[in-house]
Amino acid sequence: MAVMNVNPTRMELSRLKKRLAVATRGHKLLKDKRDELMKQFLDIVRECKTLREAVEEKMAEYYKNFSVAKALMSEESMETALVLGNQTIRLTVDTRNIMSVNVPSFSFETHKRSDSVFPYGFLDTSAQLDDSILSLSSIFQELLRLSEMEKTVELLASEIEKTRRRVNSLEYVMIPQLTETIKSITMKLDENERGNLTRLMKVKDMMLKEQFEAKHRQSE
Amino acid sequence: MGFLPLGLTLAYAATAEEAEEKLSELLEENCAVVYVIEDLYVHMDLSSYQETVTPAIIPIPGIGGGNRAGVGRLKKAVEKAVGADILFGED
Repeated sequence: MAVMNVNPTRMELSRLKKRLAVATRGHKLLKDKRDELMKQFLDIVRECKTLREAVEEKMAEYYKNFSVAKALMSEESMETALVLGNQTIRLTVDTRNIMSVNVPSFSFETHKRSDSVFPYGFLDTSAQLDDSILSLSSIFQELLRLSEMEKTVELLASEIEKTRRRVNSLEYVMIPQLTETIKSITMKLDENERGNLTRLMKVKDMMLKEQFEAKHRQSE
Repeated sequence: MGFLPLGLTLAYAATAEEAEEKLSELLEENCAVVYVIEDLYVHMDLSSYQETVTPAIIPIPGIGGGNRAGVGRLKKAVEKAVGADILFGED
């Protein structure tokens, strides 16, 4: 791993040591975050898969009924029967927080104009149309839950990807780079220290020698 | 059509471009959940809506059956998060 291009000074060393401490701590935290996100993600995705299969099955059933109804009724009477719905839906979007990822939470309330779910009279319509509308209204709750979960899955997936990239860049780039640089600075400082020490010892030797020679001359 | 009695808003589109236009119209009206027929969904560019909490754009099978785009979407999310598909391998 490449050593960073910094001056080998004590100041720089202490700065890098601080950065390494922060990076190590951040790495640990992000790793924990990634693991927890992954755990939650897998739980949700499994549930989501089952729910989607169930919803798709029920929708196929609905389409079957609806196709039969369509075949039995003329297009005009079908349109007349369905175009004016007798309920409106009000969707409320809240957000939940999963490991600092905001995910939606949907809830809905229906405002019915009459007690029945059917917006038409039974005179001109077929029983299959009733069945299809009943089956659709029964799966709507699940459909909405599916929407909420699939969106959650999508958001969690991109957050996990981001966190994973961060963890990897800390683990394989940042931390090794800092460690290497700290090591190289320490080595350079130690080398300087040793050079200094040798120089001092040499100077001391020279001075002692000089003193000794001076004494020797005096005694002569 | 059958969705109308439930109180949902219906928008018709024949092509993916048309669907994208309709989608932006719907979003201007403050729609938070949009169901798109799978056949159109696979051709639409929805990357700009992926990072935001709303809208949730959900593929559902059409009257002629679906192309399993919904399951494909989950599969893609798992691949993105885990790095490998560990849940849908058997499909």
